[in-house]
Amino acid sequence: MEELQKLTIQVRRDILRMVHKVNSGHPGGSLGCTEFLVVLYKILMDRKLTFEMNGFNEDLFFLSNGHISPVFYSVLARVGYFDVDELNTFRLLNSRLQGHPTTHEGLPGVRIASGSLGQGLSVAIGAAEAKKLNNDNNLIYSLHGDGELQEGQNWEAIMYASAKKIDNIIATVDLNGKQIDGATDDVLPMGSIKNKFESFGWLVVEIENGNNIQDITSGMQKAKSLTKNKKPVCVLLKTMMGNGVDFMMHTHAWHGKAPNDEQLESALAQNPETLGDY
Amino acid sequence: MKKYTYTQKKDTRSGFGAGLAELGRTNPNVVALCADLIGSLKMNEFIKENPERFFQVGIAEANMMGIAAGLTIGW
Repeated sequence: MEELQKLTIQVRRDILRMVHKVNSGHPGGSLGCTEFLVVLYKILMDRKLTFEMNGFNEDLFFLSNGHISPVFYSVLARVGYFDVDELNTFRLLNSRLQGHPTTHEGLPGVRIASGSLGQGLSVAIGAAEAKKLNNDNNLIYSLHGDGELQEGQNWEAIMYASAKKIDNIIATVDLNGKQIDGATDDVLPMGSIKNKFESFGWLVVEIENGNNIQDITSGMQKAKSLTKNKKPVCVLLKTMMGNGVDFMMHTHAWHGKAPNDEQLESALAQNPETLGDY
Repeated sequence: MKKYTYTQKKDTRSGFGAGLAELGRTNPNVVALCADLIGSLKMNEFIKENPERFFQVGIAEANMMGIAAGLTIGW
């Protein structure tokens, strides 16, 4: 557990340094989902250590809210899919680490382009169908923003998954209550997301503290135990946007804004180096 | 301009359905997805021969394209 805490802090530093260097990117949601992605890649997923695009006989992860690419890239590098030094190239011309993940550049760990919101769940379901066709018992994981659920295609996919008994998928919604223009309840209130998923025939697991490694682990293990039972599984992960950096928490202001030199220094001081900066 | 040879009268959708069925026989990696248009697109032959490789998505084309993208990952 201590190792995971260390990794979490190092990933936070990576995120902050990446977006600061190019003065562009999305630190808020990235920091909010750091613990989740660390737990996913270090504990939950049954995955191969080297990247194979076809994903046969291993668990797969699809990032639908592609703008939180900083946390995705950092975790992929830190668990060994590519050299951490490449994080230096984030958002640069000709880099494999584009602002939103793409597949043309061939970055190990990325199987779909994302960033145009609302499309990832359909793709994850397609991959889940492919696993069924191939008699492959591994699972599909996906992550979505809560604001992203305003995209209509999600609801087509949510309807399909229960109708077709897609029970080898765990779709997690990052419930931080914020989107780029403000609180989700101010921009376009969605009511009870839990009730919506349940009425669409999904099983729902709630993780109250989505920034606590133990809570995430036990909640996701519970979700895993609900799979293969003729119903899709949704996890509502309650997170704090900007988690781990005091001035980035309790606000939507850091959704897509980079810290300046002074702010970076303060943010890094709150997250002292653990595993070595890239 | 390309010259077409007259074979027989047949609508394009029947040609599509026959072509899809032929593909289904010759390539086991071919799957078919449909947004509530089995009859119109003449997909019945493919479905009869390969029921497990057919996906009825309902009237939801955006979702259908996403699922198709996801299906390409597993082969």
